[in-house]
Amino acid sequence: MLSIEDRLAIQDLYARYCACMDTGDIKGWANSWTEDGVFDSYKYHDGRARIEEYGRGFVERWPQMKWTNGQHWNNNLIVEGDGRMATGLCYFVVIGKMRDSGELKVCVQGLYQDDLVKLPAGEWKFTRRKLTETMPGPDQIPGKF
Amino acid sequence: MLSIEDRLAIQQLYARYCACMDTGDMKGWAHCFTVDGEFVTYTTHKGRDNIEAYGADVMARRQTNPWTNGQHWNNNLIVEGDALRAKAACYLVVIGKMKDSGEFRMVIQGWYSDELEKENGQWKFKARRVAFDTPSPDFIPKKA
Repeated sequence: MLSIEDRLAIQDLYARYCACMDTGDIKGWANSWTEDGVFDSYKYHDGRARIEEYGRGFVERWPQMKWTNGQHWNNNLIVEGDGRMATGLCYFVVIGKMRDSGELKVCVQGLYQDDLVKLPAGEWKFTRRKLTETMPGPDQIPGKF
Repeated sequence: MLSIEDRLAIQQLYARYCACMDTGDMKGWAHCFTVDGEFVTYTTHKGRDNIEAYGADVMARRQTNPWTNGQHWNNNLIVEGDALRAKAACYLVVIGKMKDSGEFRMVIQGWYSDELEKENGQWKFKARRVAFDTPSPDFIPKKA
């Protein structure tokens, strides 16, 4: 079972992931994964170095996007695991300010499905993060009653 | 390092701040700050009394907003600190009901960057700054 400390550390990882991405700290963002982590998002990115490269490309494309000030918002985080490994699921939306109208809108909607591991130093990281834009089947929810 | 109790107390402060502001309890809202607290938003306000006066002003101007039922929503709270002081950051949107159409819209978006202190055993904002555009990564509190 996850301790409260582990649970809070995992919540912190989820929040930092968003804040790093949205402020353009792509090194910090890629550091959310283990060295051999995988990001399955539209394309498959294998290893932290490739994930970082993908992130940099993403940030370079920001000026072409219809919105600015993108914010990743997570919700309904469900985590199950033990002191060493965990599985997570959460919702997300990206809120942005439209360049043409200045309106705040939900620009992206999706779901993260994650495998996490605790490193020997005590830090939690993603070993695999899968982003989908459609809801998965109920069997994908970590844990069962 | 922050204890679990401190972390939860800080989460409560964030929730209380929003609820006081949105229900118009400006005294309660101002008490989310230390006596010498500072609030930097569109303008800068130093000291709890001045912050409360600013809050009363915000309330008075609320009638002129194109929305009603404003709700402050926070997310991605990151906190680092010890038993006495902490640094924190979180996201903000204000969701409101448009007076003309009745639609629910996000009407304000921001990023809070905070310094917190325990005052008489209670966590309070010593300094609270709001950015309305994407801040630099320095916004994120460094891991302890």
